[in-house]
Order: sequence, then C-alpha cells, then structure tokens
Amino acid sequence: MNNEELLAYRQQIIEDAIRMKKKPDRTPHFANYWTWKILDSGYKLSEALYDWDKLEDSTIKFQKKYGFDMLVDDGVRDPMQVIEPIGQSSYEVDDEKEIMNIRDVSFMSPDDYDLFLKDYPRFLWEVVLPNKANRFNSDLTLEQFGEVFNRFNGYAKCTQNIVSRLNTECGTPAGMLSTQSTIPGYEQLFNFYRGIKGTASDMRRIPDKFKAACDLLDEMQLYPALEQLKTSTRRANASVDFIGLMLGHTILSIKQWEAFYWPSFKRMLDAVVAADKTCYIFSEGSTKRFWSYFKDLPKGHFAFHVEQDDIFEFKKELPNCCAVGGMHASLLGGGTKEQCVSYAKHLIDELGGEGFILSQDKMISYRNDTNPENLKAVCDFVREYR
Amino acid sequence: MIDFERLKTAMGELDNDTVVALLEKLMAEGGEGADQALAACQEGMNTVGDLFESGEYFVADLIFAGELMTQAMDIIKPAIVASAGGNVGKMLLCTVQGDMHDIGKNIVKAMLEAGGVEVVDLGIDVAPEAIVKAAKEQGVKVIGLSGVLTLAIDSMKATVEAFKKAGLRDDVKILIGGAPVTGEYCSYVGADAWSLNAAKGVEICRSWLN
Repeated sequence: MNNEELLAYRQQIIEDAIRMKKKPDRTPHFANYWTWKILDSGYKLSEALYDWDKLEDSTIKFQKKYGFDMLVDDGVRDPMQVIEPIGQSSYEVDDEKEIMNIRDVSFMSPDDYDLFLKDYPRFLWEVVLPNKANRFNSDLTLEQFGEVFNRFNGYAKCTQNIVSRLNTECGTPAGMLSTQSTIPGYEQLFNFYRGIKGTASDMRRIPDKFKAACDLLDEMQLYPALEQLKTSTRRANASVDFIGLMLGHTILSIKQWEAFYWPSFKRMLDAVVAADKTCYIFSEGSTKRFWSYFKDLPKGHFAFHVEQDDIFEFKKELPNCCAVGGMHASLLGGGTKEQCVSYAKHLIDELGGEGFILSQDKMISYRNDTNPENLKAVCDFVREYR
Repeated sequence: MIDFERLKTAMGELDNDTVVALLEKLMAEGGEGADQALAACQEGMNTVGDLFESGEYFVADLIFAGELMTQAMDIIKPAIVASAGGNVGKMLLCTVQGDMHDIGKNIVKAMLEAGGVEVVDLGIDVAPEAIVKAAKEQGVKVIGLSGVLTLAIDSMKATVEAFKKAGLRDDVKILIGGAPVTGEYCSYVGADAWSLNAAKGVEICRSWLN
C-alpha cells in the first residue's frame, strides 16, 4: 500500500470499528502517547517543547517507528512557548528527571464571576490574561506582546506540518488537534479557569454563579459548534467526525454530574447522533459511575477511551459503544515482549471485531511508562494479526 | 453554647455557612466548648467519609470537606486546649519525587487528621532519602506515598528501596495511593497496600496505627 492507500485503509478500519456494522479488516490501534514521544526520539523535553522543528520531528519519527493507526496527541498539546514572552505559570519542565508537570492553577477568583457573566471579553482581558501570563502588565512592550503572535504562527504551522506529514509520509489520519472538537462549559471552567480545587469549592459555595458561567460558555461556544456539526463534513485527513473530551467528571458526584455536566454533554452526544457522525470521547480516569447514562446511546456513533475501568466490563455493559484501550502501561513498561504481545492477542481475540480499538490505558508520558521494544512488538503484531 | 449536634450535621452536609456561623459564635462567646466543637467537626467528617463510601459524595466533596475542615480549625484553634477525638498515632505523608500534585494527598491528610491521626506532611516532590530521614527522625511506622503521574510509580519503588537500604523496611508499613496505582503496580513497587480512594486509604492507615 502506498501512503494514500494506507491512510484510506486506516480511516476505514477505524470507521468500521466505531460504526459496528461490519468487522474491520483488523483491529485499529490508537497511540495514547504524549511526551514519551519526545524522549523516545532522543530529544530532551525542553529541546522539543521549545523548538517547533524538533517537536515535529519527534512526532514523525515516532509514527514512522511504530506505525499506529491514529495518534491521539498529534504532538503539540503543550504549546507553553507561545505565551512565554508574556509569562506562563502552569508548566514546569525538568530535563534531568524527564518530567513535565502542569500545575493546578486558577486564573480567576470566585469574586470574578460577576464580571465573567456581565462582560466576558473584558473578563478575559482584565482578569484571565494578567493571571495566566504573569508579565502581562503595564511594563509589557508591544514587541513582547507581538512575539506571542509570532510564536502562535509557529505553533499553527507546526500543527499543519505534523498533520500533513502524518498523512503524506506515514499514511496516518489526524488525531485530537486536527479533528473538529469542542467541550462543555463545565470542562472549560475546570480545565482553563478554576482548576480542580476552585471548581470543587465553587460548586459548593456559589453553585448558581458556577452554573451560570457553565451555561454562558455553552451558549457562546458549545452550542454554535454543535449547530455547525449538522452541516459540516468530515475533514479529509481525519478518521472520526468529532472528538470530545471527558476530563472533569473525575471529581464529580452523581448529583453534581447531573447539575453541571450531563445536560450539556448529553446535548453534545445527541447532536452527534442527529447528524449521524462518529465521535471519539477521550475520557480520563474512571467513567464507570456514568455508564448508565450512555446505555441508550444508539450503536455506531461513539468510541470511549477506557483508562481505569475494566475494558471487558465496559464492553459488556455498553455493547452499543466502541471501547478504546485495554493495553496496560504497567505491562508495556515492566513486562516482556512476549507478555505484551500475548496480552494484545488476548484483547483482540476477546474484544476484536467491531466495537474495539486497541490503545493504552494511561496517557503515556514518562520514559518508564513503556519499553520501546515492547511497544514495537505489539505494534508489529497488531498490524499483522487477523 | 452552640448546638454541637447541629455543627456535626452541618459539617457532614458540607454546609459551609452554618459551620462557620456556629464556630464564630462559639469564639465570640469566649471559646468555651472548642474541644467539643472540634470533636463534632471530626464526627461530621466521618459522615463525609461514609457518604463517600456510599457513593453520594465524590472527590470534589472531599476536596471541599478538607477546605472546610481547615477553615473550621483556623477559627477555633486559639481556643483548643486538648486534642479531641483521641490521638490514634502518627504517620508520614507526601507526594513522591517528580510529582507536584497535592490534592489527593491533602484530602487524605484532612480525613486522617479528622480521624485523630497526627500527620507529618512532607509536601510534594519529596525524594526517597528525605522520606526515610523523616521517618527515622519522627519515629513513624506508617508511610503514605501519593502520586498522580505514572512516573510516581518509579519514585514509590525507589522510596521502598530506600527503606530497604536503610534497613527499615520491616519496621514500616507503606501505603501507595493515587490515580495510576493498581494492584500490579503495588507488587512492582513492593508496598504493603494500595488505594485509589482517600476513604479506603484512611481506613488502611488507621488499621495499621491501631
């Protein structure tokens, strides 16, 4: 197969796995690999994270070496260098320990909800930017501010290059950063404004304001995106129509889920079904407590990543949904090649066919999360096994 | 004198306004009964633990409970003359080297303290040698290691190894906890027990201390 044919083949097996109308030619394999790609390609974390060419190179090298059917992370999730000229306060990179930490930071206080709800653009300018970018103040020069836009252009170009090279050089469809995607207002507050602690506190102390902020973000961003979904066509280089994130559910009680999350999330799921699209939900942690909400989803639209939960149990409880995952990081990191391949075979034998995509059960980020030889053996096996 | 039963209920229901109002009233009246108030808050935290176990509360509630308990302690601390609820024992807690996450650790800490455990909190990103040194100096026999990143697993293993190297492994019980932790990882690390949730972790530590 040439790369064009390979791209079409990969798109087809992913489509078949999610649509669940016919068995795919073989089980698709998604890469849930993040900063590990940089380390495996021989770069230090800071080298690649602060150099677009090296970041691009590490992603392409990774895919040429292992040959996944889709990279969940196309390689540019952490564009920390973009706002560096005006200061960034979330990331910490330690090359010696090969660690990148993202701190749980709140970029607003509970008192800021009033401005948030009254004048959102002013809130972003006066509250979020100065808190997020610690040099965004009156001493900032126009040149420094302009540098942010130069770097953003570099980021956009890097994303474009990676997607293009994955397509043309590796026959690989686009992943998370280049497929249509949006998230509910709760997720935005949780991930981008209030952090874990702030969210937990606001839901108890000022639930009405918190809910109003979720609703405002949904009205401004989620619902218009869902409207677009009705008429949009899948991007030519993508393998699914839509990618959704499920991250902030990990702290919610059922009562909070029903109050702050489920109404808009359900609207998103309903929009995918109404438009007859396919959707990959990148869901972190455990989703088991919420499976009952997904039982009535029509078959053939959704693929959920399964991290902490038992993937066999997921398939039993939600036969209407495609499961993505199964391969334990503990095995890839600490097992032998034979053990890894044997477990991959077991997963495919038990779950393969329609409704299953093999992937890793953790966001693989650190060197010891995976032994490269184990990964190569599993990737080679999955491509050949029918 | 305030209604301690109402305080206990308010803490269990995570009713911030009532807890704060009752404790501020107690302090305004001279602080008499602060020990009983602390005991009522601790009993309320037990209710929080029970509601977590039953599935009604989840992580966000535990985070808030920790915040509320800290706030309550800050209000009545000046008037407390003796530790209420009895001292179950002392243990050491930290997030392991390379990992900066503290939310899970802080939840566990708040719940342990509410249960009468004295917690020596070493903070985040703590090297194995520092943990062993602190365990020696403080004379603790129970160690709680927390982490969110998968690399925390290797740091946990290195910490267990450091205890072995210091000849102290058989003298301490080590619990590992946090999002990446599994039974397989527990065996790999060589810890004595593992937990994905705070309430179970607290239960294990208390059983060891008892």
